[in-house]
Amino acid sequence: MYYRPKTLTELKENLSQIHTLNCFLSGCTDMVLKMKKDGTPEKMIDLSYLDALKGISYDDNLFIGAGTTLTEIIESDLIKKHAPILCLAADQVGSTQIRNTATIGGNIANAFAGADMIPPLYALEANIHIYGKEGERVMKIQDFIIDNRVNALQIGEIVSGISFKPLDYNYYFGKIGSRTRVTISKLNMAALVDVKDDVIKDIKLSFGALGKTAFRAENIESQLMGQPIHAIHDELFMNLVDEKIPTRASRHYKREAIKALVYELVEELRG
Amino acid sequence: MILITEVNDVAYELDVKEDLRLIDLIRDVIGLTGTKEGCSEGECGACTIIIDERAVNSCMMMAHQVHGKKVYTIESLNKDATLDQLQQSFIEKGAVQCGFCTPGMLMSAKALLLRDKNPSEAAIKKALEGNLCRCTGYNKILDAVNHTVEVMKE
Repeated sequence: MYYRPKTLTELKENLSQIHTLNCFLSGCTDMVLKMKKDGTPEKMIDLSYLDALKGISYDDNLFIGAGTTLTEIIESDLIKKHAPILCLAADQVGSTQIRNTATIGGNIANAFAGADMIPPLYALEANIHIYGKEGERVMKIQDFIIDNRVNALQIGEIVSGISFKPLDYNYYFGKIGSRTRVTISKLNMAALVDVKDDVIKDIKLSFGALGKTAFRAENIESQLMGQPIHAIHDELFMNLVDEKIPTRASRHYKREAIKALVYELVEELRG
Repeated sequence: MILITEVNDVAYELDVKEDLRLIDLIRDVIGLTGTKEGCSEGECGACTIIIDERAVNSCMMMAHQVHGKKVYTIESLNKDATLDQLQQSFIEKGAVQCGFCTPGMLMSAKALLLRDKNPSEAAIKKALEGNLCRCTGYNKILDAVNHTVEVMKE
């Protein structure tokens, strides 16, 4: 059974027919692989024809529809202006073909530990908008992502969009994978830093592919608050890796690899 | 489930399963076998086609995602039995060896040139980053795209 709602009213009706999770089609770049592995869901809702899930708008908060493709994010004047960190992250996902098809809603809902769009949204303290047969609700992204590939959606709910208050800070996003481009992240980092006279006035730092979900490195943030840029030491981050993945074999690699991201962050803040 | 779409400017109305992949629609149902399946997971780009002037991997899309849309496959480049300049450049510059990656490379390059008539080297590489070649080492493919840009300028 395949549903193709064009309006939210049709979507609501279709959602009331759904009795399982993971049966939504958006860009499909994750779903096609899932379906090959787990088989076709008995009922599927194709969200890609819903205009209501598209669009980017700014009104004190920036709102991005879940159906927005990564290419649309990269090329959006509003996002370039108010949240260029998302353009930078989106541009490092997959290949040109994948960016043209994949949607931000799908990247978030998939909740993969190594997802590239999720750490920047943690740094932005984004809200996840959820639309369901019962109505709409909003969650903070850190509450929405529960575990690797597990989100807080109930049966009959979808991610409809994300919103956040833009921050006019220095920004950085970097990832490390087996290749420089077209690669899944083995480690990624997003940072929004307010620097004045080489002093860190405010910092929002988040990581992905370091444990089951993305997270904000609150300890490091509080240690760096009010400090000069040169207080950003490799050791802080190596300790973070040791703390987050103490028993994983990749710890030894990641505690070294993270130094590259730290280096790039410092370069970015120095200007 | 009925699917209405246009492929290479030809209209189709087809009854296909919900979970049919776009690449299977193109190759098996419609019979356009120029589009190749290399990896089945969006890594190699051999399956690249163009929708709304954008290159996309047809192995990673469902057929029903192109309902009401216009799709262009490699066959659209030489519709009237004359080669597109890109194809001519690929031949001239020796950018084709086994030829398996070639349809996807041409589609990615075509999508780039539809939007950017004067792409930088970096832009060309980015446009082709999702297309793998095991034979040529990529240099001649880049030469071919650059050659096309030069010729089109004249």
